Amino acid sequence: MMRRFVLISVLLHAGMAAAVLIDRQRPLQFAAPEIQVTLTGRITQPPARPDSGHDARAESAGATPVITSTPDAPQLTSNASDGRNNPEPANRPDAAQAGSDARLVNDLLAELHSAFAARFVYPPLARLHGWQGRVRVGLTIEADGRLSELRVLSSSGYAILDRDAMQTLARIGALPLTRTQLEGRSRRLELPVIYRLIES
Amino acid sequence: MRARGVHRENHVKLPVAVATLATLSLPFATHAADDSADPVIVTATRTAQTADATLAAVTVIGREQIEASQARDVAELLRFQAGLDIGRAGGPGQQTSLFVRGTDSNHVVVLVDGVRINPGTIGAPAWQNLDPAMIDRIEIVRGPRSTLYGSDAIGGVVQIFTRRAAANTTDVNAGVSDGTFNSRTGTVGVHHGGSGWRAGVDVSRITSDGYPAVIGGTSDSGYANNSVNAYVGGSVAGVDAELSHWQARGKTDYYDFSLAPVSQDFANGKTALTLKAAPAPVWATTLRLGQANDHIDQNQSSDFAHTDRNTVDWQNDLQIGAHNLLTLGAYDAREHTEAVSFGTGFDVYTSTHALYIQNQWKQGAQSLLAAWRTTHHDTFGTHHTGELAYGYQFTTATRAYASYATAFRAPDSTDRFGYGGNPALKPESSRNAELGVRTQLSATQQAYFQVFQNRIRDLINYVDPDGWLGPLPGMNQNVDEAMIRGAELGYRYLRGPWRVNVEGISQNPENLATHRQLARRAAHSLTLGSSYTQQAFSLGADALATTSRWDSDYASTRLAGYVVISLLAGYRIAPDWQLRGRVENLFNEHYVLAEGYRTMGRAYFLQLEYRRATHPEPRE
Repeated sequence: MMRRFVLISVLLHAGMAAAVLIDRQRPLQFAAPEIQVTLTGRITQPPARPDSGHDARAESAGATPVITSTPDAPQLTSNASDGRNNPEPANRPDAAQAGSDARLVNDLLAELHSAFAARFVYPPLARLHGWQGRVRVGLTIEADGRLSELRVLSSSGYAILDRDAMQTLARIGALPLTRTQLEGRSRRLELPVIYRLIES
Repeated sequence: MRARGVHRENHVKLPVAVATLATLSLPFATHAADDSADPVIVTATRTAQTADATLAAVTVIGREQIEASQARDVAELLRFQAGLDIGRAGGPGQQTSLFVRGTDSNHVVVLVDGVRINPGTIGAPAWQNLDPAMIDRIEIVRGPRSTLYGSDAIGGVVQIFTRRAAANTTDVNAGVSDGTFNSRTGTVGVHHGGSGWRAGVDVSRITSDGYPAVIGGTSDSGYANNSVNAYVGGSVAGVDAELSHWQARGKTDYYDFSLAPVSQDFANGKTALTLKAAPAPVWATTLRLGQANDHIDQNQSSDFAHTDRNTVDWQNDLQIGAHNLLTLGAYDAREHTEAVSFGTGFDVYTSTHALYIQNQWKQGAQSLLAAWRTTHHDTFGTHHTGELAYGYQFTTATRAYASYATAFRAPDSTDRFGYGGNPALKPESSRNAELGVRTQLSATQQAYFQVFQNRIRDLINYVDPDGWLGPLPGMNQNVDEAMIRGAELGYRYLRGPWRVNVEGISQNPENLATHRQLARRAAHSLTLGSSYTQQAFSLGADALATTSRWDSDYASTRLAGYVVISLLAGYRIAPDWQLRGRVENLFNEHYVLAEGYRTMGRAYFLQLEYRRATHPEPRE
């Protein structure tokens, strides 16, 4: 009985692996940093956010919840010196600069959120054990759009959630859409990621 | 810490979390957080701990629903669940059996905080003594789960989680109730969750004059139950340790075979020391040392039945890659059963150990589960059980699963050493195949449909070759075989103040030797749960309609079908004060759950509850 069971189990696992690999053909292409980020079918409540070309993005950027929520104060600010939040517009050289900077940061974040959503899977171990928490991740967006210097600024209390946030960002690799707006400069950002389990 | 507080809050308000339709959603909301950064909020639906609802029939009953039901024992709470048949020998505290999906009353595992409480003398647990006041959540899995939970899980698993403190919360509650038959309850609980530690205690007392358990009885069959649930836990050096204790003790009046009123004392309890740690980011390990007791002591004779069991369960969950969850575990149980009944008895030590492995793989729309358990038992040696399940998410709203699983029940001490005892018995074993589909019909409506076939072999029965009066002694033997085929259909509507839950089961639990429907199991049942909540008021009705069944495997007594309706009402008289009332058996239906025994006619209950939860500001 055991032998038969193991055989069937192995066959089923192999079958599913094959199916997943075939399924994966498209997402694998999307995952490549050069290719534009699109949502996969996993997302059941796609938020209102741009999902197509660069121009469309620019036009509809204001429609994303991220940007409309506080349009004049960046949710995440960049600060080349220490990477900490600096929501004071007065610290900026001038209002126009602040406006375009805020817009850039918002655009970067919108793309980051979208890319995160496209790749995200709640870690099954954390889901099983009901682990939730908030990870603050620090990162640098290089002038060419690559994400680098990923680090955990504050832990969720669960190593697997911290690691998952880091790995998801590492898989995102780069933000090709907003790259051109960087104008050759790199940005430091701080991204809180909240892992939350909800009742069905 | 705040996020975890939110989680516990949700936890307490857990609705019937049957469906995890949206397995993953990712709303992008602005979080009113303390820092200006807009967080990525990633969410997933909580999974039941007993089994994954994407691959099995799982029902979760949360604290809010337990309170709203005003049930006075767990059996009263479970009777409105489709696929669960109740047999009951009278009123409050009287012996109660639960049949899951047509299987026998000893084909269900009951765990309290992860510790098995089924007695080893006879397998069926004492449902009547489980006080809902102690309970935070109940998870019901219909269908076999022997690979993870071992012996008895042929019909299903009922896992009870006692109440716990939420993080950074102090919760004080108290309640009193009164009703027909002088049925009174009083309960007090205090729970405190600090940073890194938690502790709490609930105590309750249930008393009832009851009514004569048997038809023709003249004196009331009273009942008294004192229960306590207490725990203390905390995290030290990455290890979360918790010591918990639950105990119910009391006295039940009943009628013996000669219809003389007698009484017995009972004790049901468990103590557990649970250690949890994550030695690596992808590895969670849980070591649980458990002690369970189930004692009955007859007051008018020296008869008794005692079970004391010590268990060690070590479970490891390993995430391999992003999609694979491997579970490896070892289980060891040393059980002492001792009983005397009408002068004969046994005193037996039984040891069981088991190793189990389960792999669950979820990727994209697909899930696959494979599990295996090898059990070694003193009496019958080695027994293997396995499970395979596959799930597919067709759309965000619809998913389906197919599963095949084997399960077993180890012969209990009475089978082996009691009347007709046979130490050479094999375990009863089953093979269950099941298909299920669940769909979100609209934002407010869900439906599910499941079909199953469970074939059970080597069922133990008493065989006497020359009849009761013949000179040859009879003996328990693995002679019977049963086949249960069934279909379950459920529908849930949740909108604004309305909640409606309708479930039906149609099944054919058949003894393959006699081709008779198995005793005390109905072929068709329909349940309705409904409520309407508007501000401080709530109104609800629970109903059960079920068809006829045989009273026993051999007699020709047929128990008629019946309809029982229970009306519920609640009124919040002040923020922390709640008044609830219930009319049991509204139409005073005369029905029989066990021939010769009475059931409750129309009865009234009223209760007053106080609950205050305070949340001191968490330190950042």
